[in-house]
Amino acid sequence: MSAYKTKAIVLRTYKLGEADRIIVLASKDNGKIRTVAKGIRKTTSRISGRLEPLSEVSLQLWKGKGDLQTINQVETINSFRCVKTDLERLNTGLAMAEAIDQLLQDENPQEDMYTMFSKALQWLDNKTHDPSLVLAGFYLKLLTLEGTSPTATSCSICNLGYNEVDLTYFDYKKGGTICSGCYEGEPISQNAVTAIRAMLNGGLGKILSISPHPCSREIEHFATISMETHLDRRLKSMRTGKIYLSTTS
Amino acid sequence: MLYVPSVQALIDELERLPGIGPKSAQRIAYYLLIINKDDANRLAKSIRDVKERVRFCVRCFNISEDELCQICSDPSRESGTICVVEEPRDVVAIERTKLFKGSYHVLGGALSPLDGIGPDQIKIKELLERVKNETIQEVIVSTNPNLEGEATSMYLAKLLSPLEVSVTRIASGLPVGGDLEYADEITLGRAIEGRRRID
Ligand SMILES: [Zn+2]
Ligand SMILES: [Zn+2]
Repeated sequence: MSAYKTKAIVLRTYKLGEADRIIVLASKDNGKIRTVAKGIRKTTSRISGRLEPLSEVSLQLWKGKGDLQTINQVETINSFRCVKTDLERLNTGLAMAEAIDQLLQDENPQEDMYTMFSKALQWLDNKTHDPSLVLAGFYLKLLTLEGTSPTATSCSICNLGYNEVDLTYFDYKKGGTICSGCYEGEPISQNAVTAIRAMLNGGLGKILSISPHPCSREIEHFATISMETHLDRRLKSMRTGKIYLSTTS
Repeated sequence: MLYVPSVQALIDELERLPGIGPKSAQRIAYYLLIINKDDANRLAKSIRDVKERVRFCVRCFNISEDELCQICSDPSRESGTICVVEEPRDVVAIERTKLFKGSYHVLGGALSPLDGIGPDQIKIKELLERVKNETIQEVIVSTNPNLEGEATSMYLAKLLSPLEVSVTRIASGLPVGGDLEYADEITLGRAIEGRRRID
């Protein structure tokens, strides 16, 4: 049994009993951790506002005998206000959290992944950045970290480079882009291929500065499909929960 | 098996109730074993009664014994204001304030993308229909002041913006009787944003 301090981002929370909540965190020093916050649902709780999903906090935790660690102290590092007050940004942030929840292992430090998540939330918190592009860039970087990023420089079937053939199809299972001659997978625009290639080669900042980007939804679509294929599951927040679309239907 | 089958079955059922663990289930089961038959039957009857009689109000989805709930069928309630809440429990909480005279709309939850709860999973379409068909001047969004409740309120504001209705959000801020210095910065920030003129 011991107490320790770490930075963490709240991934999600579950109600527990009458007034408590289980808080699932992506921590900097200890991977994914499950904690319990006692009395947090009472209106007199002093920490409930700090432990909402997508908040970055610094906390002191107590690790006892059970699976659940107890939260002793919480301070806010960044509550990402811009993300939380805009439906599309909020939905995007939750889609990021959902992927991290799947990829981050329990109590296994993956500092790179934490840093990437924290940075992506900062990008998303910037009103000039297109949320679809931030999400796509984040998913592509996560896949790179996992060693499973798709290619956008050559055909995944015949291996010819983008200078020699037109890359007009995409299939993550095959490895990424596919040329018009090999003709397999889902059609993809040249603009999207160029943007994905730039994102994979460290040019995300530059892509984000193009606002609005003409094919941001398309890029988001291919990045999401790639992430879902890698995780071997659907991302709920991208499927059932698009809470910002078709509001007048 | 430690108990005779009928007692074990009772313990199993009790354990399925929210907030009741194995220990509490045993304690309640023992209590039910020793109380007299009339008391036990009354409990059994009231469980049966709610299951037979209670349904949801067709207008506001509050708990009701009739087609319309008590609030919807009360002619003294103002018809131009709807207070939107997540659960029937919240109707009871707001009724306790005795400050609201309009009608309610119970969504049956809040938007939660991570749980797969989108607009179609809660009673949002029904609210939109009410605002279109009844003469409503104000919709007061009283969902919980957490991420899901805020998401729901932003969504409703956007959804209702083309209609001629004012959409308001209940204020959030400091608990009455508390000390300012103990408030977290998020709550205090909201309290400052939602400040009002003292008249
Ligand atoms: Zn090819
Ligand atoms: Zn009613």
